[in-house]
Amino acid sequence: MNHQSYCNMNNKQILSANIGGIFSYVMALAILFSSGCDYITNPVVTHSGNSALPTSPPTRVDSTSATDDALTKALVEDYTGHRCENCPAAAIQIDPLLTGVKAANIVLLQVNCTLTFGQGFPKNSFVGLPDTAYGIDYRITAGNNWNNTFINGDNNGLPGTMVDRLYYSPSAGAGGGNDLYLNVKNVSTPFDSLTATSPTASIHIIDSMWAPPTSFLAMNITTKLHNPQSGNTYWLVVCLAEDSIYDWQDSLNVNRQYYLKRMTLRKVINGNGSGWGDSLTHTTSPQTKYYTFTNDTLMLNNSMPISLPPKIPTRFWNMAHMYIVAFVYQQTPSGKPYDYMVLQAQKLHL
Amino acid sequence: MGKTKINPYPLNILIMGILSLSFLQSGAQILNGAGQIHGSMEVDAATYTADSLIGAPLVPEKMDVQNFTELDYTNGRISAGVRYETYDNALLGYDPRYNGSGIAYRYARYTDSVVDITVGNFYEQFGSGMIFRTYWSYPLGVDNSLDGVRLRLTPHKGIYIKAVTGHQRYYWTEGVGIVRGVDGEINMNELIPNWEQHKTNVILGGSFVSKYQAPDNPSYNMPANVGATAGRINITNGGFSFYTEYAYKINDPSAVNGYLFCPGQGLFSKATYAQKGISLSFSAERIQNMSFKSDNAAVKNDLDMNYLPFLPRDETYQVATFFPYATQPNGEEGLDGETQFTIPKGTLFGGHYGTSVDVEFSAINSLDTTTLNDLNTTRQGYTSKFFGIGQTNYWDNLTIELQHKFSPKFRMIAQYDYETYNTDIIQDEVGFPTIHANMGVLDSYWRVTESNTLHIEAQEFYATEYQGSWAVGLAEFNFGPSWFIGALDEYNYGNPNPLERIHYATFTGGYTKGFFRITLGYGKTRAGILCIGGVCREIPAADGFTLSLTESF
Repeated sequence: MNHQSYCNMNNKQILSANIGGIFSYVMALAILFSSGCDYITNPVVTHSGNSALPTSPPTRVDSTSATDDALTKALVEDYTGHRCENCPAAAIQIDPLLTGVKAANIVLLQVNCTLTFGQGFPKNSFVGLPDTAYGIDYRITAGNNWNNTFINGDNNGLPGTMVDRLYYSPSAGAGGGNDLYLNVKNVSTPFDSLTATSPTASIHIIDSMWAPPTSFLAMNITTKLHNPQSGNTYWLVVCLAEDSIYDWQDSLNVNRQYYLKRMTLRKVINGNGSGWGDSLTHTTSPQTKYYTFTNDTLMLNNSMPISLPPKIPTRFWNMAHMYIVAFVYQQTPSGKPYDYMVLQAQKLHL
Repeated sequence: MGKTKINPYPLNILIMGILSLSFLQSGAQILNGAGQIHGSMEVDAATYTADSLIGAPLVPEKMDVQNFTELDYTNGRISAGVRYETYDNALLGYDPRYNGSGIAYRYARYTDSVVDITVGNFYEQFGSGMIFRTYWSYPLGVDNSLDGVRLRLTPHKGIYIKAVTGHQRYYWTEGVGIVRGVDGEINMNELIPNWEQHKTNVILGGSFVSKYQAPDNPSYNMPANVGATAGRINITNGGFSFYTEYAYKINDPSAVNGYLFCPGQGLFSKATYAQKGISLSFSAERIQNMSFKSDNAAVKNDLDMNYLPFLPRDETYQVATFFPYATQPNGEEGLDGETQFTIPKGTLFGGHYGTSVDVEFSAINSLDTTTLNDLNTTRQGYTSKFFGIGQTNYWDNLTIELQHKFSPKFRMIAQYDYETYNTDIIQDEVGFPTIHANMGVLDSYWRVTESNTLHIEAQEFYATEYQGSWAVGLAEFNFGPSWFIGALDEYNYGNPNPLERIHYATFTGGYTKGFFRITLGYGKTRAGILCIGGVCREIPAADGFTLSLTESF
């Protein structure tokens, strides 16, 4: 219908003539709406155990080598906090192990803990420092649980260092008994001793990584107990640790903005994040456990949140510096000094 | 997130060829029978000195320069254009993913009375933009242009149809999602000839927009196609105007909404009335889960397909911009009322020239929601009462502004603002105080001579929370008449930490002639947030020189 023909109509005729066009337009919108929309009634992917694998091939697959798996590796834990003025001294004690002849035998975890030393402080908490100084809270549930059990840094203070969670003072109460600092031992002493023995377990890690936007991490952890003892139970803990974080640290009352933090515990993947891991079968046969990790928010390293300034620390995980750390520990009915002792540790750079 | 490079070279070459030929032919803006060239450019540079006191970071390159240059060529029904951008590197506060240079925007367009077709990049808006708006904001560092095809049709007088399809710009690449949409608008007074004389003008509109993104989330069954639709009506009669638009979006789980599968809704209404000497305006909006991005993993301002209505006024005075409101796409509802009137001249408060009064109040609260325990099943997250008002106050603002001319050479503006600012919500913080601020501004313009003008502002920001109170002073002197110098000082005298009671002083000078303007500045920039229309970006603290140059032709 052209414009000229309208001029010969009254309003009613024009309206009725156009009602068809308007109706057609509304219908077209309705068709578009129904065809351009996917309604989802079952949002959550259901699967047994772990997350289903993405349908696309992984961006990268990597694994620990057989040679590496055969080494005895000790788990060295450094319980620390950014407001712990003496903690850098403990880290310095560990540094030579990371570069020494037995560098391949150390698996380090820096565990931030305690309210006093580890909390993330509100802005403007420190006179003369930028308002975000010491704002990041690196503590997680697993680290808090470990601290309460092994170090008790809230009462004993920090730093606290352990090698394979051996107790050096079996008579000590909860916490403190395996803290090398409290027992005045240099970390290299038990480290050299423990890594000179043959491994009692081995851990092989295969990881598959999907780059953003899929942001998915899958891992197969194959554990072999060489000589499981009757009555003991064995557990596997799998976590993520981020190396080379530069952030604030009190070092003997000097505020250092670009202090290098090594292998900071970020996330425990299994055992519901408690830190106590998943139980292993009492067998010498290899046993493989499959784990996944996906958290779109955490793995969007280059994305800031919609409003600023960002919440920290979760926004700033650097996955390029991230390691999978796995270790096997035992629980013994006889208790200390070998209860919770770590038998083997392993790590794999993502 | 990125997929393909933004510059499909054949189109670039074609457009650059047209532009180059035009320059070769005449080298002027108006070409003899060969159309017209128009353009604009801006260069911004800044040097940086680390300053731990104000939190200014160390910038390794010490100086950043960024620029854009736009060229548009029109010849009859054909037009084409490009925009070249350089970020070497992007200024502090801009996303470093812009670093680099290249043609960020290019298009070719044909227009006649029925058809208007654009290929390449384009900006478009359906209605108020609740389900579709692409735009470029250089100050915000936002460019979500669509790269594809746009068709505008006018099949009959009073009927306007738009259709678009393409991918969005994502820094120097394009987003993975395909965007497509259609919008129709009917101007009843134009469509029905006898209605042309009616005082009441009625415009109806409706639109539909859909995005496609291949599902790749291992945890959720993501919808590949997400659609949104909106309907609107605009009625005007003399000084009265009423506009309302309702939008609905189906399940659109995303990083912004925490991968909830609930639908989104938006309602925006605005009524205005104006007659000589007085105007009234009243707006209301309700936003629920209306972040609409062409990539469900995108956050911040990346790949926004829509623009949500913004109720509060865009403030211009420094203190009133300290804590600007940012639209909350996951949910908010608000009201805004404003009246402007003039106290007649010759009265006690009107004086010799009359006094203009502007009073505006806006309030924004949370939605009235009830949380559902369904995150492992349907993931709707919550239910909400459409007309309920949530208990959490996000923002309140009262502004009273008086403008009075004392003489032909001297006028003043006095403004009072009260603001409530929920930091935890607006800045996504935890445990920060809600800020209650009282602000006062005195602004004066004195035309000393025909070519010399003195502009002085005194501003006060009074609050007890966060950084406490501020005093701001500004003096600008225009002379010559093209030259100007100015000084600005923001003094955080009420900071609870005495060491952070800092003067952020800035000195500027420059030259303006026609569309050309150059400004040189030096001083400290306070860390803060820049918001335009509810869309925000961070402004980091900085210390150093700035240079800005703009030109249009």
